[in-house]
Amino acid sequence: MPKLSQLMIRTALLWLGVGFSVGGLVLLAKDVPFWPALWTWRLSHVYMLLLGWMVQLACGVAFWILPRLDAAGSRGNEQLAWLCYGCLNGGVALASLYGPLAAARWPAGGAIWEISDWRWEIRDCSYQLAVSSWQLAHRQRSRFAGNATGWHADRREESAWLCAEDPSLRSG
Amino acid sequence: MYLQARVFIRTALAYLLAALLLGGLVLVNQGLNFSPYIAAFQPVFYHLLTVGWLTQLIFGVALWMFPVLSKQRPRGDERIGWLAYATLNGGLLLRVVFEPLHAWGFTSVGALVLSALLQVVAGWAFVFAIWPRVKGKAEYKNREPRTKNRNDER
Repeated sequence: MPKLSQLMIRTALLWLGVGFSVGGLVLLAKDVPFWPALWTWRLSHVYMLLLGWMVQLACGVAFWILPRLDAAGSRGNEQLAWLCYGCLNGGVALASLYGPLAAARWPAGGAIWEISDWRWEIRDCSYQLAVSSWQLAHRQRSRFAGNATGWHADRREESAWLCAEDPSLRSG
Repeated sequence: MYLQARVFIRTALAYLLAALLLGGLVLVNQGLNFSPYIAAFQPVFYHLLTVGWLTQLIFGVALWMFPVLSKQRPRGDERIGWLAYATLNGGLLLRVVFEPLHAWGFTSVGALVLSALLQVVAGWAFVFAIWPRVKGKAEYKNREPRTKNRNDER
């Protein structure tokens, strides 16, 4: 698994844990309304899980398993995929923090509240940039017919290694 | 595909069917408005689809296809995976029953609190189960070539 995929998948796992925790708190507050402002975290929960967890995991796994471009195992333009990683997480972080900060008017009268209107613009631009860079980075790999250096070849090699001494693993 | 992954994926498929049926019902009710009680199922529909189907499918496929951990324990500690399965489905089922009841004005006697707790445990349990398997080239790629044992030559 390449470094970028590891980073994307691990970041996605962190968003999963944080998103589930925020969602758990929001659900808990339905039954025990201990902090009314917690309801403003509901949209953050959606962003964390739909984009931070699911979309990012899909990107990380796709970067790893899509067919490579040549026999040397090239994955195309990795800088664009890194740009996607930065923009996607920047967008999710901004979107997640916006609701709670806007509701809390924090800091009172300060810069963060004043720029909150155009923070949506930054978030949208960030998502657009993430999607565009991802498409540019992968447009060739998604059309490529496949070769012997891809994920499937790795799986075959891994299975052969596992089954060499323990045939019971063959069915797994 | 090994047992744990199969169980995750089959359960996810069952949730997909349930979510689509419930979603259809909610949508029909939005058009025909035959019962005011059905609207309370909307958040349940969202969570059946995103947690029961999508997230659970991802869990199952990830446990199956991510690189193996070691030859002795290819998939790490499978008990953490089972903990994630039990708590995810326990929490979700509690939510399916008690969230509409809560919306209709019944007291849920802490069931939603328990549901929230179980789902949070499920999320983190999966993170701990899969985290060590998010890694670079597998061990077999870097292993040294096997040498003959001296006893074999005798």
